Amino acid sequence: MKFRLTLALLGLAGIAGGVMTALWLGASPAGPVDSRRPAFTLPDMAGQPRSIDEWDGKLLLVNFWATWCKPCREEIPLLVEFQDRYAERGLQVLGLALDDPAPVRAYAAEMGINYPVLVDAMGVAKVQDAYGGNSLLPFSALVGRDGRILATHSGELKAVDLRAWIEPRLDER
Amino acid sequence: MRPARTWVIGTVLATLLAMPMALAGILDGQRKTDFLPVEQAFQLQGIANDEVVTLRFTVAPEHYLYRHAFKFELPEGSAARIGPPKLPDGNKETDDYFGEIETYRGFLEITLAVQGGVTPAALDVEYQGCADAGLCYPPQRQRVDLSGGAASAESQPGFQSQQDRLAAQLAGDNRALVILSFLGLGLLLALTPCVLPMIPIVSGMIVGAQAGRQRAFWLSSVYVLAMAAAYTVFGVLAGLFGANLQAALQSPWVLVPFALLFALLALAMFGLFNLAMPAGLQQRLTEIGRGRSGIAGAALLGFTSALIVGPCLAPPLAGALLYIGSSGDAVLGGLALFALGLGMGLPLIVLAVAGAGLLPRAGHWMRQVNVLFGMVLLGVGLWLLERVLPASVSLTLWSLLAAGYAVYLLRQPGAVVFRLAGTLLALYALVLAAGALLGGQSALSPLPSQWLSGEPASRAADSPFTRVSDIASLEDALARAKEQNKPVVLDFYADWCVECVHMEHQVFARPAVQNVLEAWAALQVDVTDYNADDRAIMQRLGVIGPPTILFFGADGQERRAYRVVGEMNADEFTAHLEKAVPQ
Repeated sequence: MKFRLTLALLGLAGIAGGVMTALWLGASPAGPVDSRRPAFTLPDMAGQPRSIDEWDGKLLLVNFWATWCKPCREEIPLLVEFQDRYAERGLQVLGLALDDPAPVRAYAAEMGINYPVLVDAMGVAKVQDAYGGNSLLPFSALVGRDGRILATHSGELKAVDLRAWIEPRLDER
Repeated sequence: MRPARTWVIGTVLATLLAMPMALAGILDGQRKTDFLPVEQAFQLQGIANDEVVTLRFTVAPEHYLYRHAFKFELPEGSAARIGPPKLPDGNKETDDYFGEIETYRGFLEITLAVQGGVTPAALDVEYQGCADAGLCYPPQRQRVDLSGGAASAESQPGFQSQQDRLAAQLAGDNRALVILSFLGLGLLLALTPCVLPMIPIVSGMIVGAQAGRQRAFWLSSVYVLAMAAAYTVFGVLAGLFGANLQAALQSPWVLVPFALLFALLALAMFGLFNLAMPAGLQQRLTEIGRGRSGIAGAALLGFTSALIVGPCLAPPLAGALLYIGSSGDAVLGGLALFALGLGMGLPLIVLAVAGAGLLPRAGHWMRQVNVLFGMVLLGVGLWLLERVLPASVSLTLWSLLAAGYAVYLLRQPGAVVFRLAGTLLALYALVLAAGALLGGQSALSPLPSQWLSGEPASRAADSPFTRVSDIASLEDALARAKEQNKPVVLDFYADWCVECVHMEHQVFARPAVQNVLEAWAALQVDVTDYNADDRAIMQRLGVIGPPTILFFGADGQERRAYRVVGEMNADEFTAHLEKAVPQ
């Protein structure tokens, strides 16, 4: 009996050690970027040129995506929800689609996208580069009210992460 | 204890010991935040003749390509004409947006018929894919040179290296046959350094158990099954999560306790457990050592032997790991690994059963056999320690071991054969001691090479390699070689890798090899510590473990088809250099 208890304890200690090591190895600080947002002008879904100045003074979540990118599509409902819930408190979501206008228009209608989406495959790729993206989608950047890039994220955004990005910065002046 | 219960406890113990490592590997695999450049995620090569264009994609592990995103176009002005592409069946998936789609992982071969008999020189290929990490690469458009050109070697029969070919076979149609062939490959591996150290362990176990043929069969079978199971479990984990657990286990923290375990087993052989020891522990060790709780002990030894004792990498192993990594198909890859493990173990079972019949049942000779195998087990322990000890220390220990056994033999009454063996061993012990003093490198050739061959020592002892330690210094070195228009040979080495150490002495230290390497930039990554930088380089280049040698042309492109996994001799190596990058 004692032998088995020892075994169990050893095993538990081993598992705990493994988890700690893994967490320690995995801890990667996602520090703020803190540099001035690059300016750009791109056509929206109706083909009208829109400049980023338009949203100055807002907490701006710039989301780079495309219809051919499954993880991008998966985070769209979350962005729609955030736009819906936090627009009044100063949040603005802005979609930049590395795609063709037709599929983007169809998808935006289907998903009920409630924020502006700018579409231009070549142009968006350049902007993503300027924002520090690695040319992979999805990619998101958070621009503060003062026009500084506060944070960037490569890969799908999770609700928790997004909340941690957005909520402390709502209602700021 | 009844066998069934000890078997359960043994399994539980092995699993518990393995768990933290596995967990660390899993979580570690998930934390990757840097992404492969697209040309590494999806490697594309093409070749054409007047009948067919063949394109080959190598998709990196945890990445995939979409079937519906492919487009193929001849460059404008091309006189050639091509037919519709022939794509193999992919993995069928349901996509919420695109509906029924197919994806490709691992190796993908696409052919297009050439119409009109004009060989196309190039083809524009459009493709799009994503990584499992939840990221997608934008659609890529790449012009593929179909002439062979710089990579003309790629069109020869050696298009794929052995491990790539094996991985591709697993992805192919006739799976039962492939599994069977892995069994055969395992048999071929049975006499390599991967399996040799297991022979004394199994023999020691049989001797300790005083087993008859039937019991020897069961003990060795359980040992082999556990070994194959360990290969399977850890191979699948390694393939899926990209962490090489065998390599991770080659640290003093694992090797020293294991060496001690073998020393204790040896003491059990000598019958020395009437030393002052806690009674419970004493009994347990005796049980394991003398094989009375044999089945559990055999399982435990088998499971751990696969991971710690023989950490070597051979093309079939690498091929199965590559296949698992790139396809995510753990079942088929696992079966292949299990077959490989069984193949490696079958000769052990035969040996155990045959050997058991020869064992004396009792008396003076039995005592001698016990002592002999005790010494052999001490040797196994020392052999494990060798990977982390300086050569002079391990030579001294070998010398002491030989001297100890020599003294024992010389003091035995009776048979002249003992005195003869004892005298020879004593001489060997002296040679080993001399080797330790003179800077020898290994117990099998203890004297430094200049004593035997007359070659100047300075040259022979020099390694031709420049060490690189992380991705940045590797990239620097590759860029420098490209500037100097030199091809590059990149060797992965570790102190605990028996084959690597052997190649250092028997291949890279030879003046003939070094002369050929003058024209090359020779780089080496020492992954002995298996730290984060080491893992990053291995992950980046898709290297599973040492020994692996990569060749890059003067254009800075890897000649992946010529990648070498496992050991080579000096002649094979120089011939391979010439083939990989003709000068």
